[in-house]
Amino acid sequence: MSRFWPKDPRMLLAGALALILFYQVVLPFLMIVWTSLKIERPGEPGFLGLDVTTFNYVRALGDNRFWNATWATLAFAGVSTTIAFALGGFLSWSLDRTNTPFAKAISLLLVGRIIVPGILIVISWILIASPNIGILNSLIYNTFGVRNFFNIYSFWGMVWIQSLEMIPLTYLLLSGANQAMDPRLEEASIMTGASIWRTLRSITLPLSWPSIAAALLLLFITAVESFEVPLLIGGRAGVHVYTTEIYLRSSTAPTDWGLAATYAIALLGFCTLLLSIYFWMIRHSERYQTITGKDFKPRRSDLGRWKYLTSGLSMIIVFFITGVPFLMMLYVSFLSMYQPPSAAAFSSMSLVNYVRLFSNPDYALWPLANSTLVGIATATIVVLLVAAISYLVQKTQIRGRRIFDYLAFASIAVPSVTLGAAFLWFYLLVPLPVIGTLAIIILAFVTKFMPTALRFTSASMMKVHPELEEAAQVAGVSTLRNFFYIYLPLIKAGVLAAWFWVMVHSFRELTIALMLSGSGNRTAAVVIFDLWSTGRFTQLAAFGVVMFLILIALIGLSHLLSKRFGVQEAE
Amino acid sequence: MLTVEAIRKSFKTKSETVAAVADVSFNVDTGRMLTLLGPSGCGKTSTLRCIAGLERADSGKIVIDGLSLFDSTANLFVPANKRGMGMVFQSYAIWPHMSVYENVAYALNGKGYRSAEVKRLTFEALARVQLENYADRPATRLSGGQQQRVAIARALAGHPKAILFDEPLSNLDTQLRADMRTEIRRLQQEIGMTALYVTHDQAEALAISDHIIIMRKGEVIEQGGPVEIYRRPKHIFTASFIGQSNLIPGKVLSVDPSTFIAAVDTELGLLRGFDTNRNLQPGEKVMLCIRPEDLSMAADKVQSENPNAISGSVLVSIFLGSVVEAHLMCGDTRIKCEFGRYADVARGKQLSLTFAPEAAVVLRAEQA
Ligand SMILES: Nc1ncnc2c1ncn2[C@@H]1O[C@H](COP(=O)(O)OP(=O)(O)OP(=O)(O)O)[C@@H](O)[C@H]1O
Ligand SMILES: [Mg+2]
Repeated sequence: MSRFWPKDPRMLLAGALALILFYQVVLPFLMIVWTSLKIERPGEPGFLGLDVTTFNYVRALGDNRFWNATWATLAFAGVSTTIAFALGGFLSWSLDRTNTPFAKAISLLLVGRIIVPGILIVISWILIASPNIGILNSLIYNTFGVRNFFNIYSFWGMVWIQSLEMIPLTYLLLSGANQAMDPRLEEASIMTGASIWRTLRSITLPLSWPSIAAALLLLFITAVESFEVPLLIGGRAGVHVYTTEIYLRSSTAPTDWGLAATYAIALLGFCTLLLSIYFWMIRHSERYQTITGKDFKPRRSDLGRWKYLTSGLSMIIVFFITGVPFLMMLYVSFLSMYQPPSAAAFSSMSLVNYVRLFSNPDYALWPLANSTLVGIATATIVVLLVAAISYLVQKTQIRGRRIFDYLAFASIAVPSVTLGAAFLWFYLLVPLPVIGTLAIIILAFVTKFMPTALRFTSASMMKVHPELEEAAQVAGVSTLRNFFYIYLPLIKAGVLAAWFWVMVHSFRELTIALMLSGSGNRTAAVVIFDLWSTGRFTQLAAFGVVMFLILIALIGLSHLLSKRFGVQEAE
Repeated sequence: MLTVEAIRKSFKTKSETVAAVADVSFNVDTGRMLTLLGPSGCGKTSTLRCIAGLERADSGKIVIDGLSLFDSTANLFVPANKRGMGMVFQSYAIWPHMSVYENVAYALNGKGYRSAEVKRLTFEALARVQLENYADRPATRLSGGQQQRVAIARALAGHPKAILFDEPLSNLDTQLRADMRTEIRRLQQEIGMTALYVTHDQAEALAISDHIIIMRKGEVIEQGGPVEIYRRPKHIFTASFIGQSNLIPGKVLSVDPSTFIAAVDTELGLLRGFDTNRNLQPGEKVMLCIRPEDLSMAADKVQSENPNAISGSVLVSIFLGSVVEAHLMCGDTRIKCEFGRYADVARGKQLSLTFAPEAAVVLRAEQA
């Protein structure tokens, strides 16, 4: 027996991780590639036969629909990125780098918006600006007599919502870039007599250019991968992007999985290319980080009276981002029938939606419980995996250990729709009874959220000095006990941050959950989509409010815990 | 001339308000170098940044060459980029995306110079710091000392009314630091620039300044020329912070009204020293401060005639190359002294020391 077990338990760990990563990351990827090369569908006889064909690619490339989708994806992502960057850049500058009043509160509201599921944001904008039922349109009709002034079901409607969605992320990315710069470099410019503007143009911008370019790329990728906006609005607007094409062909009748797989490959290739450029860029950005000296605090420019203007503008932008969707959901959740605000509407308000929601457990309670379960399970599995991976990569000398890092990080390039399709097809082939259960969603989520979680734990693992483990080894402690008693406690800050990040994001993730959903494993985000498809806006709003409150509670809890354990606020 | 009058500046942190600068006033004469010297955290940088305009003082007045830069009563605040001062930062703050030439020329661009003029002035500034051959180097590919030279050239280039140095040498290693401080002093005297220099290194302050301001906890303790500050400190804090001093507690017996030589009763006997404040009264508690290098070995005979004598046995002696440092136990008091390198001061040896009354200062003991 002992001949087959390697002596070092670390080799055992490496073997187990290699298997898991191969199963979770490599196989689904191969699944997509294989499906794109076959006429037969996964699960059909002959699917595993070796007769591959370029049939699907020829079909895709020869069809205008593919080129339209390519163009639509690029245009949608490009314009949204530009707007999000302009507004986010303004916010980052005025909230972080000037004496704008209320900057702290404004940025809190801005970043807080990240926890709200994207689908709720899209729906609230539809309720505001769609033709016929949009509140804004009926207000304009009542006052000016112009019918359907706004049409959210348009390219520009999509761009508007997507840009607002991405502004908090833009702000976070640029704040990071800001903090990486030595404020003395700007002060040195001011002292030579240069104006604020010249300093911004000649010093601040050139120095932050690598991080700015990286932020732009990351935003662009986010927009390319986005799903909620194209799904809910793109259909009626006639704007079909890659993600919706993949979803439609793989999840709604009539399905065409071969074609869906080719689109998925195109999207994957595109995202991989952009991400490679991104990593190449941020590698160079470190060259400019000249942090020296002991006093290191960013300088805030005094804007004089202009500060009221920047404060006002920031508030307006953040009101659109956080305030509008929330107020809209709250308002609609008290109506028994969706209608624009009026005296009659306000007098008919009641709690009936909330009552209805909770009287049918299939509608609210089970999905919320499902989401919580999925969140906790995913977070726990992911955190254990990434803690083991970062331990293996950073604290052992096993040959080829960097592969683990790359594999676990690779799925950052895989868009959610691609991942959803891959898992769906994969389990048609693998005889495990997971389709239609929460298990398949959890499995897919693990792959999805591993990369970000890995970054949290790697960062804290890096700070653990190797002498600590050596000391324990000298004292005769076994490697396994070492991992649990020395490393895990020492990296608990990173682990906790990663756990909550994964938990919250699993809770709100729609794309994968929707693609893998059956009647028995619907999560909260999927229920919102269902309520939307069947036109039950008022119930949907009530559900959204409940979900919002749960997420707030989760964040509050994480804040409390991280304070207790001395964790820095996680992005 | 740069005049600073009653500057105050406090910072609010989450838990408390720190009075970083509490009532600081001084003048820097044109063409002179003034140093703010004090321990870490005493408010030197804050004072400098208020003068630069990078920080807005809470109250007070700052005037340069008759021009008001800041006046809290008139609610006047000239922003940093309009003050016409140059500044050299502790971290150099060299722009990494520019060449040496571009770093210096930046200070001249946008000020209405013609491009030929910019070039001439830039090379003039670079020549002053001996970097004219490095003009095209990327600024990041320079040693620490060279980066600091670029920073100085950049601050000089625009011919500022005054130049502010915030611990410019503290990131350099010891040898380079000594060279650079001589270099800065030479430049300052050559150009005749008005300069304000911040440091917590007393040797640097003595070497470089025309005038020294001693600061503690946001306040000015005393000021004067380097020699005066070193030889005739008026405050115990100064005596112990600058150079080395033996502090011997005692009580004033009498003060000679014409020479201000005070006789002090100490546990080492009656000792005489100079009353720098010229206002001690008999009976006051004082410290007699005597520097190690001012103590010399006495011939045994003199002892009875000269009251300024201390005797004790050698506790430890250290050979330092140019001098020998010895610590004597005189009763319960430990006295540090320095002798020529050939002195014979083996451990345990009995020694008699003497000093001139003018070499010692008698300072009022600090009320705790
Ligand atoms: N921006 C700030 N916010 C809060 N407190 C500050 C700030 N800047 C300085 N202080 C505090 O003011 C006091 C004086 O600081 P300052 O930097 O002027 O000291 P310093 O004399 O330059 O010290 P060092 O020799 O260490 O540079 C310190 O107690 C410091 O903690
Ligand atoms: Mg300082």
